[in-house]
Amino acid sequence: MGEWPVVLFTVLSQMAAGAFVTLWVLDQRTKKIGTEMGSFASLGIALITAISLAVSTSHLGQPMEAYRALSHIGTSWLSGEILLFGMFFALTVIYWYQWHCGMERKFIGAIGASVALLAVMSSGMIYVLPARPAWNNLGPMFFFLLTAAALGPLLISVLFKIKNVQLGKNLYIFASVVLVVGLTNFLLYLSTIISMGDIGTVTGKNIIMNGVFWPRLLAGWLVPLGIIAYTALQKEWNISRLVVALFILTFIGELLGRSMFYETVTALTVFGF
Amino acid sequence: MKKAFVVKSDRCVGCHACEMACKNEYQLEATIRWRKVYQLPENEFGVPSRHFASLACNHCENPACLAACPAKAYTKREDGIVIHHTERCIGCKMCMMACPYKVPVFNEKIKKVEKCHMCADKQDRGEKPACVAGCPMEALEIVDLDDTNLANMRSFLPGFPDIAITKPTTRFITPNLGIQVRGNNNG
Repeated sequence: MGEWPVVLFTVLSQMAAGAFVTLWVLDQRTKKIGTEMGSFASLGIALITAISLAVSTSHLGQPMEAYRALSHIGTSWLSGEILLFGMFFALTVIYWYQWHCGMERKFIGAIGASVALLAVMSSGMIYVLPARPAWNNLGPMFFFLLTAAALGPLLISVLFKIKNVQLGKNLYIFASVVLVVGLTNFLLYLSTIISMGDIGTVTGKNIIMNGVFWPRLLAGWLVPLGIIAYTALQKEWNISRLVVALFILTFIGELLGRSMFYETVTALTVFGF
Repeated sequence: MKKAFVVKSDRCVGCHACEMACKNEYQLEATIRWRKVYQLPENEFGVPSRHFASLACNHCENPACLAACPAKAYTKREDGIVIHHTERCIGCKMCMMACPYKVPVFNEKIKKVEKCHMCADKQDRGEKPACVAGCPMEALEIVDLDDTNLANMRSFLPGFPDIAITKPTTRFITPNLGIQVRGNNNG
C-alpha cells in the first residue's frame, strides 16, 4: 500500500491535535495537573507532531523540496495544512517549554488548540474534490475531526498512566461518545455514498469488500466500546489496566480506517475508463 | 485568445498515432502517455457503434490541478495553455487527485508529475503540436475559442466528466453514426 506515509501522517497529526486540546482543556478545567505530568504529556505531543511531519515528507516524490508545499496558500488546502501543522508544531514546543518552566500557558494553549482544530479541518478539506465524488462532501473533515477526538483523549490517558496518574471517568465517557458518533457517522456516510449511484456506489462497495472493513469496525469501535462498557458495568470504576489496550486498539482501528479511506475511493471515469 | 484542442471523433479511427507522436516528441517513459485514445462507450449513441476520442490535457478555464498544487508548479498562459513546471513539482500528486480527467501522470523515474503542454514551445515557433501534426486523419486541431465558429462542436461527449467542474476548453465533433463493420464479423 503506497499511501502509508499519508495514513501515518494524518492519523498521528490528528492524534497530536486531539491530545493538545485535551491537555489544554484538562489543565484549564481541573487546574490539578502537575508540572511534571504536563511537561511529559506536552513533550509527547510535540514529539508525535514532529514524527508525523517527518513521515509526511516521505509521501512526496521530492522529500527534500517539501518546503515548497507552502507556496500556494491562496488556493491549495495542502499548503494550508502544512502551514497550520507547522504552526501547531511550533506551538506544541512553546507549550511544552511553558509547562517545563512552570509558566502561565493559558494563551498559548488556547492558540494551540485553535490552530490544532483548524489544521485538522484543513487536512479534511484537501480531499473535498469533485473528481472524487465520495469525498466531495464534509465526510473527510468529520472523519479527521473524529479521529482527533477519539485518539487525543486516549493518548493523554496513556501518557498519564505512564506517570501513574489516573484520569477521571468523564474522559472515557467522552471517548465512548466520540466512538459511537464515529461509528454512526461512518455507517451514515457508507449508506449515503452507496445510494449516490455511479462512482459513489463503487466507492461504497469497495469499502465493504475491503479486507480491513471488519478489522476496522472491530478494532476501532466495537471492541473499545466493549471495553469501556465492561468497565462501566463493574462495581468499581477501574479502567487503569485496560487503558493501553483501549488506546492501541483504537489507534490500529484508525490506521486501518484511514488506509481504507485512501484505498477505496474511486475517481470519475473518462469515457468509462 | 483561448487555445483549445478540437477532437474530431467523426474522423478518428483509433490508430493511436497521436499518442505515439507525442511520446516520440518528448521521449516519454514507456508507461507514460500524455495523450490517450479512448474508445467511446458503444451504447451511447443510440445504435451500437465503435468510435474514438483522443484526449490530452483539456487546458481548463478553471484548472483544478493549478488550484490544488501546493508548490505553484502550474501556471496558465494568456493564450489559455496550462503549463506544468516540472522543476517546481514536489511529487505530492495532489493535481492527479484533483483533475477530473486523469491528465497529470506520475513519472516514477524522476518522481515528479508531468502532463501535456499543448507543445507550447512549438506553437510559439509557429509549428503544430506533435499530436496534431502526427494524426494521419487530421482528427486533431488547435483553435482559438474566441475566434472560431463553434456551431458544429460540442463541449463534451457521452462519458466525459462533468464539464462544470473545471470548464475544459477541449471541443468535440461528434462521430458520424452509421453501420459499423466489426473486425470479427465474418458473415
